[in-house]
Amino acid sequence: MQSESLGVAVTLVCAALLVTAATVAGGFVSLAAPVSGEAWGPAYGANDGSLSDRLARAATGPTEVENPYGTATVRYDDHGVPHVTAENTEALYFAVGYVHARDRLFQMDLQRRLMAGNLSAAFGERTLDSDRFHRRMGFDDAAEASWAAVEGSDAAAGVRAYTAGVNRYIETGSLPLEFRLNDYRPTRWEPTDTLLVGKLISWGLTGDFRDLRGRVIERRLPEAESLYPRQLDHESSVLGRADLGDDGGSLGDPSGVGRPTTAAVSATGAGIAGSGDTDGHVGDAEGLYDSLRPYQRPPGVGSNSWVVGGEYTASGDPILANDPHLSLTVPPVWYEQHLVVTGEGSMDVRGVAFPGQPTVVIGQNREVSWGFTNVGADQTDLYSYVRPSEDTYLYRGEVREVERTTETIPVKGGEDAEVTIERTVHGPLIEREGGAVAVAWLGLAGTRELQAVHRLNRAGSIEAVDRAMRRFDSPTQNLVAIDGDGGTYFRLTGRYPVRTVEGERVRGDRVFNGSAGHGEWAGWEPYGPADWNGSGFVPYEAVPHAVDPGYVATANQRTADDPPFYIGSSSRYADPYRGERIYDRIERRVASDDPVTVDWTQDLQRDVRSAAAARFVPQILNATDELSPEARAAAERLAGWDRRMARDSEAALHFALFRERLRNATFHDEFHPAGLDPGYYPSLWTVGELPADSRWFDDVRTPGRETRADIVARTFERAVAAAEREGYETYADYNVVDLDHRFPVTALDYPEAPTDGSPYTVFNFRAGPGTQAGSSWRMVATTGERSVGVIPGGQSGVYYSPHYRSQLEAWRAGEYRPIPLEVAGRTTIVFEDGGGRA
Amino acid sequence: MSSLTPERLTDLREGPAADRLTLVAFAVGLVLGVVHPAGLVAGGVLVGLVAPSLRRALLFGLYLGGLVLLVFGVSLLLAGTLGRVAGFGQLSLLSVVVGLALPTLGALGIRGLV
Repeated sequence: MQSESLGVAVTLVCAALLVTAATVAGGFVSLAAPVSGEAWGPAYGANDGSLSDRLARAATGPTEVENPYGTATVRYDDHGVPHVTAENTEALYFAVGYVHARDRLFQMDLQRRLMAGNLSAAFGERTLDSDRFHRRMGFDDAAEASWAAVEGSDAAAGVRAYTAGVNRYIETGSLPLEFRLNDYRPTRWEPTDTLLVGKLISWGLTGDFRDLRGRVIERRLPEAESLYPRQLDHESSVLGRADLGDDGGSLGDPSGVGRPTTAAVSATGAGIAGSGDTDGHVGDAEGLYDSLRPYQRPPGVGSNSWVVGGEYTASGDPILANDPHLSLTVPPVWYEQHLVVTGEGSMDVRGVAFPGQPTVVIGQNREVSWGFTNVGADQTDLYSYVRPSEDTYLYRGEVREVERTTETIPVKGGEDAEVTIERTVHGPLIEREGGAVAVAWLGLAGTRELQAVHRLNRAGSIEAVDRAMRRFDSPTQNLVAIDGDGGTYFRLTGRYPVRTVEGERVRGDRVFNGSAGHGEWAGWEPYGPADWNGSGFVPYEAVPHAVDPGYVATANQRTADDPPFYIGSSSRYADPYRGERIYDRIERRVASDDPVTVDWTQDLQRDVRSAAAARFVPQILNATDELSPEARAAAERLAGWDRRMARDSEAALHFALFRERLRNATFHDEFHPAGLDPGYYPSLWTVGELPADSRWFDDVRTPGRETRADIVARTFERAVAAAEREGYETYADYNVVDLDHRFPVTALDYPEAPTDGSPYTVFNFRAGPGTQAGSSWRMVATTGERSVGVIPGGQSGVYYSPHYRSQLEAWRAGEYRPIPLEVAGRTTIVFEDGGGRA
Repeated sequence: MSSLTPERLTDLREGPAADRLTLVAFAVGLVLGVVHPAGLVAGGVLVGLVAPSLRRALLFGLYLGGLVLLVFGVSLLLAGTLGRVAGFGQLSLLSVVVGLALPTLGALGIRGLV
């Protein structure tokens, strides 16, 4: 009887524990159960080289997938790069869609959710602000407009096939881990989702509200206006130091465009992005700008690229280098792929693509290699209005209703939210914190870059590249290209709006009086088609370009010293440190007896000598009298330092900490009381150019008058103290690559490890607690030698894959791997003709 | 012996076919345990039913859980992802706990009753 009671008691306890486990932790049990747990599903089949996969392939052959467009084969090489071979273009893109979804579906879904304002449906109310902003901007409608602009083209047919391939994987493939962990499923992919990914990239490179920034500075600290010149005082502009040859360079054709008139631009003061139209009604510009800053082009987004002509290379063939500096993410922004069409429309192209878009964006085919860096041009204008009422605005003498619609945002685990979308004739009307402006971003209309890149993949010559770029409406990029005939090429891509006020050509760095119709882009309609070749935009031929330059280098610095039309202000361009260093080395090399090679070009991409250090270290050494003994000893070590931001360097550590604090030490005393946070500080270059007795070096909180030496000494003292406080010994302790997956599960993050470089060196890396940025793809391409590349992480977004972060170490170390146009690897997926073609 | 235990079940547990029956229970329990999380409990119930005592039910549950974990480990080894799964941290640890606990609770729970 006693044992029977014990048995019943055991049963009751077990039952209670099981019920508790099912009700309290049922989700975790379903996730973690051995073998059948949801979390482990993607672990089976994630390693193409595993014994079970090899046995399965030996027994039953590669995975077979029906392809309605024709046959295709996917081989994955040792680095996880898919080599996709197909009999026609559509069959190829179907396979590419399938492969992208197989390797990066969560990333693809996240991107389209972000831009369409659908994050909260998957992640709850913490992403509501983001969803509201993106819905107000109407990026999904912009994607529809772009789809309408290209819908009848070959590129659109490719996108339809790509879409079908993505959906085939969603229907039949293993759901990625992130969906399982968060318990949701991806909806079907649509062609406009591919366009949305394009909008994401374009917005990230050209979308901003900096015209408000100028207005805020002008109001709060007008005496700072001179710190934001229209042009930084340097001589390393892209075209200014290029070897343009005898007839290669063209700054554009001013006759077709006309520069902004002095009278018209003088209204904005010196160079600050100013208010200009003083009769505008922005309201609280400060509050508005502060609320919108998180959504604009982030700092640190830059890139390097250069081409060197065959006359300077060992092989006699031109060499091209490109490393775009984008946010460093897990998985990486880019996905490398090799695409081959053997039949009609034959093509053989290799390079990197954005998951969600089928085409190679940076790479090479058999005849042409190309790369991009950001220009920083102004493709966003803001308009303010006279508002007779909350529901209306004045436009060219008539009162118009603000277009209003209300959308419901589904929220996971919470109540649905609503957002009111407002639009005017110029674009979305963004009202926040008591301020309101309409936003005309060029990418809100029917842009056709999808078509341009589609053609670029097939280009057989520089001339074909040039033709393709006619449709590259956004973003504005420095394109560099080389071809197999020895041709070299540089061009600004994108469209450059023509703004007028009272018939006078003006710059775009201001908030325009929308009620008066100032600054409008003729032929451009938000969410509609645009007359890209009309008078509203600078003619293609008039945009700066260079045919067959001997060499040209871009690092987001100013395009030209005297551009034929308004491109952007200094705050939109990068400081010239990287551009200066690249040109210094190229000029020295071509003047020497040593020709340029692929190895030398890699060495230049790995260059960590800081031109910024070269500027500031002498200033530190001139201030040693003001330093404590400990800081003075550290400063003396700077004297023998080679200015290389290398991980084993203590001097690099102290300089980085100094550089990080210098602007704050210089400007905080004036900017903070004016309500301007560090986001408003002038550029590092500007600080370096200030005279030693500049008023900005004076600390207004002290009775004395400080000079540069005082501020430099104070900053260096703080830098040395910070190193001591943090326990840093070398630059390696500070310059740590720490890349986290967007999904908050620690295991998905990449391991932390140090690297070389800084935001101001060619080998580019921006450390910091937020999103880190740096070289998101390093490529050296040529036809005369082997081409090489590397990405910061791995090809696969599948955590269990051996290619999840297989290139991270090589990337950190500045190593490369060959990227030949040869199909390689095991046949993993075979697409069989499903006969679905009409 | 519980008064709720059917006589037939007692005969099976103590009869000449008990060993074979235990093997079958483990085989079926293993299949159940690898196809669905709830199968871990069902498999535990199955091996618990044939356990001659409460203590043996505890051991049978643990054995079954161990077997499922062994299958899990070998399958991941063959799939070339064992290291990555093991590196998942807390979720991997939870997998071991779930793998051992659910069959054991199932086995003990049923054996305590019948």
